[in-house]
Amino acid sequence: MLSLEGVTVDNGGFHLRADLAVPKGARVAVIGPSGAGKSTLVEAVAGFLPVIEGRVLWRGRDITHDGPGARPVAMLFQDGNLFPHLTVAENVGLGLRPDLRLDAAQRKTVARALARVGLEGLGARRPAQLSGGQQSRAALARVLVQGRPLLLLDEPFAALGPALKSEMLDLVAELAGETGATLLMVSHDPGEARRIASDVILVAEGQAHPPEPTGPLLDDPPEALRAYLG
Amino acid sequence: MKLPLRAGGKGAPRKKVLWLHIGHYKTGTTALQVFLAQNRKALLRAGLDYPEQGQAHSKHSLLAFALYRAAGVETLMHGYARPETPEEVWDALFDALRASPAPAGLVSSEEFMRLGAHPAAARRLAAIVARGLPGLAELPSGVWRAAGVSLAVSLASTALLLVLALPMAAALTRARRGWIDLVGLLGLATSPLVIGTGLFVILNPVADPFALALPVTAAVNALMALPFALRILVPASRETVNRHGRLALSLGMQGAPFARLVWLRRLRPQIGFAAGLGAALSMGDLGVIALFAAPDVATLPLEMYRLMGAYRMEAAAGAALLLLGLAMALFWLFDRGGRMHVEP
Repeated sequence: MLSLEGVTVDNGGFHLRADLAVPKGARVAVIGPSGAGKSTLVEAVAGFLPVIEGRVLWRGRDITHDGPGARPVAMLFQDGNLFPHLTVAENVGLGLRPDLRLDAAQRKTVARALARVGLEGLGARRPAQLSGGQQSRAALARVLVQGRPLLLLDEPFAALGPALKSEMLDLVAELAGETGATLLMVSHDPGEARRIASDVILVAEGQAHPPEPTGPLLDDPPEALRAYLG
Repeated sequence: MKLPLRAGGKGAPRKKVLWLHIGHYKTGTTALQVFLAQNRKALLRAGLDYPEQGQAHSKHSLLAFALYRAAGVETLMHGYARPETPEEVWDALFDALRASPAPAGLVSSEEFMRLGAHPAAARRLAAIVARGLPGLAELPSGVWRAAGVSLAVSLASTALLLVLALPMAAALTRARRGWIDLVGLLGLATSPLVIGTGLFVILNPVADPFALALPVTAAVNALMALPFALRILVPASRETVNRHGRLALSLGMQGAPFARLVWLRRLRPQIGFAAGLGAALSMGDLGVIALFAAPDVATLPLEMYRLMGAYRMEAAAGAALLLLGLAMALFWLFDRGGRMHVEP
């Protein structure tokens, strides 16, 4: 379980408050108007923004002051999820060892992860030699080998077309289901949330609300969400 | 006796003069020879080489003995019985003079007096001199040696530049302003001669500055190039950290793995450019070396300068062309090496 206890996040003067808990294995969409603080919430959980009040707990362990790499978190950003000068296999391998000194077993793990996301045999390529969808799959392969129990997505598929985006989200949902990971994903699209999210965290007016089941919330949205959904 | 070693070719003939001091016996020759040998370095700075080649007991009698022995003379001082031919002995002398920075040489032996008594030996010397002349017209071997020295200084200076600039660029990526910036600017704000003079004053009591001429030149050159290198590296470093820092942090890559796998590799074009610039700057520098260099040590720019001082303009022009070629080649190699196989 991920708990944010009386948390205030500082994002360059903008403050976001959160007091909520996400059950283990849940698939949660973070929805709200632009600029309300969706990315701020996710980045605070990932450890990129300072928490100036309250505590962040993972399974009861205080991770408020842990560095991003020390958290039980794998994250995909809006862009720049692969190093362009490294091969696809090296990019995936970084999820196992940050210094890339992989042994034979770890190289096999990388190859298996690439095969799992449909990139079998493409490990020697550079990201620029892959299509946008393939690049997303490569990043997901790294998330897979990282084996972190908490997966954060900050709209990594925003640049893909609608069909490809749905395909990627289905793959994410599949992978999260296989590994039992808890999923927290920023989203602009209620349809997307209905498609894969069990719960929704509404972020509005500097406040992140506790997760509520997706269907009922979207069917009968509160005032702040209604204004956003239109 | 004076032998004008005249070289052929277009324009004004270039001369290196070789003086032969031929005696007579019992006229104070030994005192003169010992004085010349003991003041070899001072004479060299004044433009006169009293070469070690062919010298024994402060005098150059070996040059004469070889001629007499070849001409069948049997009574030779000190039981001279060396196997070298006169050609070998004299060519070695010519080579030494060719390599010398001085425009003139002097060899001294009262034994040359006996040339008058042995026409065969005199004719042999005349033939040797006539044969040895054309070689002097070629690029002096001192130029090639100086080019090798310059190359070594330039590469050492470039290595030092990178050792200084890379950690400073990394630090500057985080701290926007501060003392590191000022250290980097030190090179820009002062001339190499000022830094060199300062180092000379500091080093003089603890070490022989002349022995340290080349290391000091390399160090000062690296310092001079440092601000340029930082101006090239820091913006690229900031860009790399902005673009890839979060991903690296989320993967726990901080420290050495980030430097090795991301930072150095993303900065390779800028590192190549900075190294090329540093190498070319060092190659062409005529600052500290002019202060520190002993007469027998020269970088290519200093050798060129000395050749001009000796009115050997064509040899100096050849050295200048070599200098230009080497500086451009170094820059091209580093810059090109940095930009090869670079991903967007």
